[in-house]
Amino acid sequence: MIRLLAAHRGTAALLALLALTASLLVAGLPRALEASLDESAETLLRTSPPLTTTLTVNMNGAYNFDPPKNVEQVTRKDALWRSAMPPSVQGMLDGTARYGYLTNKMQITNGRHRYLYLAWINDTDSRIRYVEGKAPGRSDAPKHFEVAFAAKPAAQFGIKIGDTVPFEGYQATVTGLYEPLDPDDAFWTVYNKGMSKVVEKQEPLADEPDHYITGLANGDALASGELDLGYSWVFQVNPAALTARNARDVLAGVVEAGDKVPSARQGTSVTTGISTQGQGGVSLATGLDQLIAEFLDRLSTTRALMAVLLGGLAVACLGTIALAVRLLGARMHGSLSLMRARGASLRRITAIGGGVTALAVVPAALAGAGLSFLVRGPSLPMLLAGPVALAVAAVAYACAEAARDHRQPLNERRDDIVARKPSPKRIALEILVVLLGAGGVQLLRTRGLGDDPFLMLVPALLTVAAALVALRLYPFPLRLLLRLSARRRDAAPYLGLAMAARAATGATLPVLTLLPALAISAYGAVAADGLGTAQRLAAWQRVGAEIRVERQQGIPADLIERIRRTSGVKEVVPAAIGQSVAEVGFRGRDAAVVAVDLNAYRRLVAGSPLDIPRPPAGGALVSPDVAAMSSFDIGWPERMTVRPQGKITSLPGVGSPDLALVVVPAMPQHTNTLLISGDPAAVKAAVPAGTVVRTMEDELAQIAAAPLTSSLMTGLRVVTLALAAYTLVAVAIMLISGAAERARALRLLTAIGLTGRQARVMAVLEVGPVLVLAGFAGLALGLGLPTLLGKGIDLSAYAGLRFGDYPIDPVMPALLAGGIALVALAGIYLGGSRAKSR
Amino acid sequence: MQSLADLEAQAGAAKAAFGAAAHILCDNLVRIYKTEGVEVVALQGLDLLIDKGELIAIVGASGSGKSTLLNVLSGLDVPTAGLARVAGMDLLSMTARDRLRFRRSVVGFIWQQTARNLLPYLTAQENVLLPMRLAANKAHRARAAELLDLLGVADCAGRRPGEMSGGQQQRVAIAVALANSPEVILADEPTGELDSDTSEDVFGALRRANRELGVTTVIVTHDPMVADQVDRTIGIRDGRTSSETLRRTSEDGGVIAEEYAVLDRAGRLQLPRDFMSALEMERRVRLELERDHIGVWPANQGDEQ
Repeated sequence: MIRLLAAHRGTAALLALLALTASLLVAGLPRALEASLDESAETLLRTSPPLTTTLTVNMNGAYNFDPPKNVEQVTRKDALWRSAMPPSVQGMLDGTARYGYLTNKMQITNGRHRYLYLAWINDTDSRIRYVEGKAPGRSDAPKHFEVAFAAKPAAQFGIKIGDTVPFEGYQATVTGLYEPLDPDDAFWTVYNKGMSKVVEKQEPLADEPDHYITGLANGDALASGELDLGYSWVFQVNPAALTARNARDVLAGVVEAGDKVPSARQGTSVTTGISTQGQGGVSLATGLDQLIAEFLDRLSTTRALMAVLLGGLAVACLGTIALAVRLLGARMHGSLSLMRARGASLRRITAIGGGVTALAVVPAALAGAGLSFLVRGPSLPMLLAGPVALAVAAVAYACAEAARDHRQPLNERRDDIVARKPSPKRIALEILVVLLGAGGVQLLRTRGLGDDPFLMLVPALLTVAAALVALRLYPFPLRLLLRLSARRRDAAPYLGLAMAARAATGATLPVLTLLPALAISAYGAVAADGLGTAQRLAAWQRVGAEIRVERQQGIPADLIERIRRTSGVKEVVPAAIGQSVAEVGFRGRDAAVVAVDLNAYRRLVAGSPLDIPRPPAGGALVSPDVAAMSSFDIGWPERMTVRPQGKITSLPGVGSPDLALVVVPAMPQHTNTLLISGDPAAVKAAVPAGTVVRTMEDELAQIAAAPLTSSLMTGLRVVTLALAAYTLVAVAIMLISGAAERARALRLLTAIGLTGRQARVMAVLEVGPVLVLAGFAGLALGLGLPTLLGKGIDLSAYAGLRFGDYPIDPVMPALLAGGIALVALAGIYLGGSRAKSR
Repeated sequence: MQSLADLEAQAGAAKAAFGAAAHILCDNLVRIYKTEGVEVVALQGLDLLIDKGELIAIVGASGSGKSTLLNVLSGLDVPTAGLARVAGMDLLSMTARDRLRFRRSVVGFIWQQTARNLLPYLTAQENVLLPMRLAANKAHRARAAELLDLLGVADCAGRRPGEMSGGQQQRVAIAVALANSPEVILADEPTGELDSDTSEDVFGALRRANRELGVTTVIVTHDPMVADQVDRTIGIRDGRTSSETLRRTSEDGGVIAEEYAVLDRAGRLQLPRDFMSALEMERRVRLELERDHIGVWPANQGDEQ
């Protein structure tokens, strides 16, 4: 076997190379994708507000029959809640224990609008340093607490060490003043704002704001006091523990945790992340479920798209490998026939055919799988399934081919007869594939891709179905061309097409390889290109201009003038953008109000993807929900009456879908936003501090840099290029397979006067029709796939666009398919003359 | 004078079936190739009897059915109808397992193309050992060496086919065919690609195998040199045996060749084409039974008489 392999080492090396790259791709790409999905999950948790990513068990002591009466009981509850969490959630928790309790707000006696909270938090001691006095202890006096305050808010309240603060029948003696060791820690800035500074809050209809200060008390003293306490146990998650694979379980776990927290079933709305009071006063509050649910949405789209691409890639890899296996089989045919004639059993012939292929494919596939470990990503045993399946399929195909070829001892091919009546079994199988493809598309359109493995195969199946249909239709135009060419004086086109027609039965495998490869690579190119365009559009829509300058306190005319005169600035359109209530109906309607010169704005963004409406003849443009009014009042930028003169659904960078939109003529005196075209660096240098400058390019970079998006783009590009490469290899194998017969025909024809040019034309016309067929059908299918798959795979989310805004540009895929076909045809043209010159 | 009892005994005695004792037997053998829309009758009722240990040549024009016959006899092809038996094995009713055993140990085959007989990446000796290995016999290096020696290519044992001449390759191919001690060797134009000197060497090797190993040898050939040196030459025309030439050595040491037309069991006879054209015989002839022969006359000539 090894010698047989050595005798055909060239073909075997090609096969091994294909197996190596294919297994590297099918194992490495999902691995890289999983890594970026994990990274994306981690980034999501890391960058989200801490309050939404923690799980907090709250207990209102007032509603509980048996609230904890000392620190030990609270600590024990921490372990209780922790063990009550489902395993998937427990795996996410980072192990830090944080719990504590806080009184309700209590008015300081004789302190107008001054309130006091008392708190105990388990890990405060490690975060503070006493600047004066000592930590509060237990007081023996009834209704008396020892407390410590942060030095700064205490000074603001005029509290000194040794003071006694009376409140609601109790007294608190200040025993210590402290400083946070790290005032920027989330502990102070997010969770316990009131401990490091005085909190100011204006109640509705109140004349003055209320001021709150929080004092630290001794844990046991506070718990055993008779104050109503709110207890909370905060469970922090480890962002790195959330991965693309456990996200679904974690989500289910979080929802389950809501149920498991005792008596909290009815009151806890974990799906919305809003915590409400449950029975027994226990509730679970988190925003984690919502975050993960959103992540899962994008995750499934990414996985769906990659499944489509990898499915296509797998079809192309398998097809190309099958072509190479067949080539190797053809090369070994003579030797195997001889062995068969000399007494080798069919089993042995099959074993030799499969064995030689296995010797070439298996080490290569293993090497490819091994190399894939160099790609950064999680080690998933599942990922090895791809290379193993690939190797098994290649060896099985080789065995089947060898068995088929040598089943009959004398299976000499008749060269004069090529047309074979298609077997009913094959027709039935083809119809089944086509029906499955069509049915699958329908399912995909209605259900979306989800996690259904059958639906994930649908796009690849569809390309195979399209290839089968194309193969059935292929002979008709070929016959027509043959008839037309028969009338011409030049024999070369007729001969070339006749050879193409003879080769038609052998075109099945090449077309089954080329068409899916081209279709999916065209789809990949459409998707990558469209995604790029969509991201650009989204960046424009978010900013509304090349550069946007915002200043809350308003932008004075001299500043506008200064920016306008800055070199590098081309045009400046002042605008006032804000929010008001459109006084319609009883309660009014919140509205985004924009005062801008629409004509100037249109000039500013001319040539960009933005479409700004023309200004109405007089009056304002308003969103459809308030357009029915003949007039209504708004209070911002100044009190005025708006007379709707036209409808506008949205304006780039303004408002949200919840708000009505009102666009009124420019009001230079209220300018708070500048829309600018020109050099962002010059603008940034020209504006004073406290001004926000947003640029379209920055926004675009931010959109494109999102881990999920960037890895998706990389995946799209790698798959598209790999498919293009496989297509070329498939064409090359097709050429090599027919080379001997072609050379024989050309030698014969050269002897009777065929010229070099005619030989080249013949070669092109022989292989060209299959290429053109696969190229056109593949391109058409690739361009049609986004429409065919509909909502099944919607990429709009990646660009922050709504569904349907996703653009399809046929130029890039057409260039790709055209380029591949041209390279292949040029190769054939040159190869044609070489064959002749031999 | 036979008595009635003798005649009765003679009639009642079991009559030996046609060719019962033959080593190779074809009776009314038919092979039809059917492909989409085309039907080619390659053998149309061929009869053939070859005795054990015979060395015969089969000659005939291109397309006459020689190679088809050889493929049928070697078990590489299956006849459509009739009877074909080689060394007692019925080629029509063989199972796949029988067929494999038949190819492994009953027949050896040599093709015209020197390159097609041997695996190019194995040495001569390994090529000879190959059929033994395929038949799961113990590979006897000594037997391989013996065979190569017998056929005069012992010096080529360690060489690969590419390092040997065409004649050497064909002689190694004969050794390969003989590897599993078959009862029959079938050679399809074994000298077709060789010059006359080399042809003689190869034919000599075949004859040596036939004489020394007692293997029945059937050679399909166009080569007059080969056809003239065998005991019997069978001519095939249009898928039937048409003539036989028997050779015997005369008392003075010269070779006497006598050509016969073949009369099949149904009484059919093929007249040589040149005889027919010389007398412009077409469609019908007139036959007359004489005392010791049958006269054949063109129909018009007879009519005029």
